Amino acid sequence: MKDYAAYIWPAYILSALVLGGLVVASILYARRWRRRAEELSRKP
Amino acid sequence: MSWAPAFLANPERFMAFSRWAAPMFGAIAVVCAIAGLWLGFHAPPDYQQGLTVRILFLHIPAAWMAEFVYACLAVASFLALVFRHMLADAAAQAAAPLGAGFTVLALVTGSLWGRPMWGAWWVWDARVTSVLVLLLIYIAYMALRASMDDETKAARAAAILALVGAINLPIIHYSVEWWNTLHQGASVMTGKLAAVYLWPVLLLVLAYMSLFGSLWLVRIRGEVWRRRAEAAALRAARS
Repeated sequence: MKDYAAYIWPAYILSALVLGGLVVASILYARRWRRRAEELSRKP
Repeated sequence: MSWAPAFLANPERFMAFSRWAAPMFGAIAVVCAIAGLWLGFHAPPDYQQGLTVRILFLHIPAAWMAEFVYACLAVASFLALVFRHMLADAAAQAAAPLGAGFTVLALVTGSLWGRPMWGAWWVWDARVTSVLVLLLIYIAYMALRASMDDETKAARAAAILALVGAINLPIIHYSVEWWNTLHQGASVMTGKLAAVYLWPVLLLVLAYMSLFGSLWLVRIRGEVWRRRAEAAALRAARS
């Protein structure tokens, strides 16, 4: 592993960061607009 | 399955379906990712590539998803253009950032594999270059949507761009056959890959696909709420 560790670990770390970023961004986006839609629908 | 598009075309039914389907796909993704990574880290070194074969367990699913997500975007764009359906347009819009993310991963993991195996971080190979073009199309799609104030016009222009860009999919797929490329030809679906490497790849493909399914539904739900919020804000401003 150590011969190629400098290539293998960055691949796994970057994949985790990008996929994790997509998960967080998608959930926050949906939550933000759900809250906004609910706020506006409650207003008379 | 022909009932599925008609069933999901109703926003209320879609919201009810996606409420339980999104977490279910997310759970499938986690289980498949754990199993795929466990098998991948127990796979022996390849006789030619050594342990860099472990990068391919991430590269192949990302590359497949880059193309698959674009195909979903193109189909949704076609439906939005022809039937002018709100959910189809929301689906196209929601797919673009996810597809761009998978394409970035395909390029970066490919580069990290290419440096020790090819001796270069980047080559202007037909396959690699056509995937870079795919990333540029994703970016152009998102930029075009964001550049216009009139959302209907932006959606139509972006849908046309998405359909024109779909010509790149067969180019990516057949690039290794049409041109003399450094990138290897198909190996997963042709049975050339040993089972000890095939299973981690297939499990991680399933994990990536389930993750996309989950996040696509979450983002479409977000789009539906955004449009509802903006419609409610417009009504409030008029009254």
